[in-house]
Amino acid sequence: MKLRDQLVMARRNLKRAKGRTRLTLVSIVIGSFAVICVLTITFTANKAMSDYFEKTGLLYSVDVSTTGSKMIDTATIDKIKVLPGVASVSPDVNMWFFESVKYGDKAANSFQSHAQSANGTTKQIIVAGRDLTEADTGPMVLVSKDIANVLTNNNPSALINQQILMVTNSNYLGPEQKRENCDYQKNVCKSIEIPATVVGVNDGQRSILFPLQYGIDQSSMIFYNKVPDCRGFQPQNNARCENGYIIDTHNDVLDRGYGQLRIRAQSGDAIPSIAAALTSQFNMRNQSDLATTAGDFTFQIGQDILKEALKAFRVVSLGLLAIGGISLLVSAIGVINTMLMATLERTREIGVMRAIGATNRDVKRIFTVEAALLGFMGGVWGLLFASAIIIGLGTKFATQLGNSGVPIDVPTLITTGLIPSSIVIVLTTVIGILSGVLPARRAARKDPVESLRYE
Amino acid sequence: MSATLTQDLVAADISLSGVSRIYELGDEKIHALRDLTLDIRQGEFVAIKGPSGSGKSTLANVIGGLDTPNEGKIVVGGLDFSKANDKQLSRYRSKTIGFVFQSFNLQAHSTVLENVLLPLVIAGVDRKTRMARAKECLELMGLSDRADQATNKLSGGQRQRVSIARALANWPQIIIADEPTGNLDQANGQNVIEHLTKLNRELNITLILITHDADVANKAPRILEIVDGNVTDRTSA
Ligand SMILES: Nc1ncnc2c1ncn2[C@@H]1O[C@H](COP(=O)(O)OP(=O)(O)OP(=O)(O)O)[C@@H](O)[C@H]1O
Ligand SMILES: [Mg+2]
Repeated sequence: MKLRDQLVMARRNLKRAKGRTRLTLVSIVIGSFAVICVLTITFTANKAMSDYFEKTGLLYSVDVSTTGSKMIDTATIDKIKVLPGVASVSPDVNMWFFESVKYGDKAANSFQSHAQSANGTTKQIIVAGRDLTEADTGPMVLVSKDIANVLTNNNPSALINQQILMVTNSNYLGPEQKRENCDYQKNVCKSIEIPATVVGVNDGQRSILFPLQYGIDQSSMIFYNKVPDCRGFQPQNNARCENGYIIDTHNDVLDRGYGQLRIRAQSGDAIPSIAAALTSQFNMRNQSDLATTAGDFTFQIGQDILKEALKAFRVVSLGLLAIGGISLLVSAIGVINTMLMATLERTREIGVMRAIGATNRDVKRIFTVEAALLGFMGGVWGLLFASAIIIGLGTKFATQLGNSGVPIDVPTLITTGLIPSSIVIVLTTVIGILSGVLPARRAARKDPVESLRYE
Repeated sequence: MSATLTQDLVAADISLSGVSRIYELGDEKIHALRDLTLDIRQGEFVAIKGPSGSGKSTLANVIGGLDTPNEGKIVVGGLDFSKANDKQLSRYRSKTIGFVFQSFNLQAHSTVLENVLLPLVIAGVDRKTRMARAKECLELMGLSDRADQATNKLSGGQRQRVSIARALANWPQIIIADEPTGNLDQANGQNVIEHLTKLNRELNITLILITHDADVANKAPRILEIVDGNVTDRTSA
């Protein structure tokens, strides 16, 4: 018998027992649906996370932060810069004094303002406009997409080259603040609006990024102390006396250093030696080293973050996969049962087939192909359902996923998720074939004369 | 292979010698066939009659390669059954033998045409040839206009003609009909017998016809009577 004819025959036989075929299919469809969904999500998320780490340079980055009062000073930075394998270094100034941002009648809150070197240590994924460059030193900003969306009603590129207003909080005593705004007893001031020009929009979240120099400049805070009289005051580096006030200027960054620093390695391979040097030469501690609390600073390796994230993810997906696997196993039992019933029901038919020339092997293959077809169809339906749901949900939530920093879109879901996980169809087909082995063998072993007699 | 009824037949002479088929039911041994020796030449029309339980069906199954005797030797058209494997015996059933059963044994939900196609499909005959051949066989049985009907919509006589068409499909040398008129009334039975004997006359196909009915048996030039698993030649001529 030709395979093609066997397929036609298998299809017809499955159709003949429609109800039973459907019930058997349901369990395979559920199993394969579950497995395909889990695999798709796992593959896509793995890819998206790895891509994101790669694109942003996080994969090659080491982030240093202070553990307490000791800050990272310029001398340290200069020494780290020349460590073998280091491509670039950028300190990070936290501009804590901005509390909101305005553009026209729109405003956004709850973001972090930072200043970093625009030397490629952190790679920006530019959505509109341009990246900051090292030539930018003034009030120019790179705004994250989510904030830009809020400010422009989802038209981020409208923000390019526009002025936004950075609103300070009451603790801002920086260079733009005016003396008459402040209560010097309490060192609090009215909030003011500092204009900044948007040069670009990036793919980050809840962040506004300034040039490093601007961050340093704005960190100069002026403190006023009312004194009865200025006579007898000895001017110092930071302090002078004017009109009954001692005016004291402090730049936290220049005086004490940076709280955070990002190192970019030339390659992934260079990271271990950089980590070793940070530990031995700079009294720093790897954050994943739980055995000690020593060190003035801790550092975290981007690759470790990715590994941790993927590991946590893997645990979850393995759990889900096990559930999918169990339902596939149950469906295999269903296939065995269905096929055993079919062999019994079709005993006489088997006898007739043998009488008109079918070999043992033909009979065996008829039932095996039928079981394989059940498995295959279950897999295909599972894939169809999974595709419909994943593409549906993907379309609906793509923007939210994008905003959460992990850019997952429908084409990625299809190419890195659904297409590779359609291998599950092979799996269900194999499950079908394996489940068919016993019933098929039983069918082939039937004695033709007995079968023809069977009522 | 072309679809034609006038295919050259290789002679498939049947020779049984000392054949016994013994069933064991507990301690009891039932000799369905007992030391039976028999020769049937290509193109013969042989009627086999005998009382119920005498071993007629067993003989048919043994000649048809469906059942294996416990003792004795069967050779048909040069094929020694005792030396043949499942594949060779299946091929023999496919190419040399056509079975017609008392209870038709058709696929009830398939069409008439599909039933006739089945042996050709099993034999792996290509689509074009098998379609032409199945239609040819149906025409010969006067069923051309029924090709696309479901078999369970047919009368008993029509069903039996479908099963003859099916037996004929693979250009057999031998047709074995085990009480083909058993489920039919007089008129339909006669019609079926006429169709079968026509195949014997016109195509030189060996016809082995098993029957209770003396009138039916008397149409055959050679009549074998089985009693208690053994055969007596009652041929008058
Ligand atoms: N599978 C079996 N197990 C035990 N005994 C069997 C079996 N098959 C047939 N027999 C016995 O063998 C003997 C011959 O049976 P067979 O079917 O050949 O008779 P028959 O001549 O065709 O009868 P009928 O005219 O009723 O069809 C009977 O006694 C029957 O009971
Ligand atoms: Mg019988």
